[in-house]
Amino acid sequence: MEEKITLNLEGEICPYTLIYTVKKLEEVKQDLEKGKVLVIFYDHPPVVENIPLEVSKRGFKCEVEKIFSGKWKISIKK
Amino acid sequence: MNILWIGFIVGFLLGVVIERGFYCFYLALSNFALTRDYRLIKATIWAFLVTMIGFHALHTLGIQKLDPKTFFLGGSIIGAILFGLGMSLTGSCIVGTPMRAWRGQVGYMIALLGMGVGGWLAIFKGPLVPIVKALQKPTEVLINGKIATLDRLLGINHWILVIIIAALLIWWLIKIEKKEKAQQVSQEKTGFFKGIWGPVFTGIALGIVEIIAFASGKSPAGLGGFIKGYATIFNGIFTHKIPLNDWGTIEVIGIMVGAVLSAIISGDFRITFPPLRRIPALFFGGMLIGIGAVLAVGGCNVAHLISHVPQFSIGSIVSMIFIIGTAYPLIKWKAKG
Repeated sequence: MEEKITLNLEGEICPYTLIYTVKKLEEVKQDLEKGKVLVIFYDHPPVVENIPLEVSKRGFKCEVEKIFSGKWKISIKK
Repeated sequence: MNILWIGFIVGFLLGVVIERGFYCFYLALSNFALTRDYRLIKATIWAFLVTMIGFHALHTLGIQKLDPKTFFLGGSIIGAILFGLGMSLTGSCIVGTPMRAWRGQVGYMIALLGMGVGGWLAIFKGPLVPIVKALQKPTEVLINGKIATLDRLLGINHWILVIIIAALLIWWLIKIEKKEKAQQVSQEKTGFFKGIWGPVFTGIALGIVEIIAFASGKSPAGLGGFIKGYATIFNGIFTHKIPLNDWGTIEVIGIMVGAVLSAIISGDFRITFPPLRRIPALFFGGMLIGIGAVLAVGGCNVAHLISHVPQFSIGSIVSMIFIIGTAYPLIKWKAKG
């Protein structure tokens, strides 16, 4: 079972969704290198587009899952 | 066709395009500032290219005359700064706000209300009206008694300018394309109502809607008048009627219907509420957007950047410089804080 680090960014809007995601990613970078997964929840639609691009540029893998209309879960791992 | 139908259809199409293309000028700036993500910038360049060439072609063919915005030294600059501050507070722009609101985000509905109130204060009643007037007509800058445009300033034929600018933008697009290849930006294709449209498609679609609005001859030279629309609807609270023969009013109603339908069909519609602490910024940001747009000669980012900059209005060029000049450094500042 992969260990998860979760962050809830529901209610956050542009550009904070991106800023907080990047901040958290930097913070837990080493944990991710060790195999942990960063799971973030959002309800701000632009994240579907801009988070995966930024995450992949930083060399991490990213999985976007639509939980239901208007709510997304993004899992980031090495 | 009367103004009611054409305005509604244009608004409806715009609503669909911004909702599916996820077009927001503030998002374009912030994605670029924070992560060098060029996709929405690319959409903007495509929209600009389509409208610039389309507008000048329609003018030369004698179908619809160019009608660039004038330049009010006071209004165009101060309005643009207020508009830029409003964008920073709401985290969105004139089309980004309805795009999010009509996907169900209540926070942005509050921002739209702010725009209506701000526009109303600047157009209809209160102490702001004389200030707006004083900053506009008395500070007008003309070139040889005519509206200030870049081709008049340089004393060259407008088509020469069209060709030079188009060449520069295409060169920029090629450069972006190369960068994206290096970044391996995925360009995967999605269905019409599935996933977000690619930037090229979004930009061209936006440009075509803009040209329909321009060619109809009913609108203020292209898309625009949004704030006047929200302000007129807000004014309806006091007058108990909403005049549907106003371009902006019918256009913003069209945007709402188009965006809501598109979001529902795509399965992206959901009512969500912002945290309470964000509400004041959304409302006052909306108000600043409203006041700023009225002050800057009825100019929001869409009216300036893809309606009147392509017509070479110097007022719109100056306003865009100040809008970006205000919003962009604030994005960098937010990222630091």
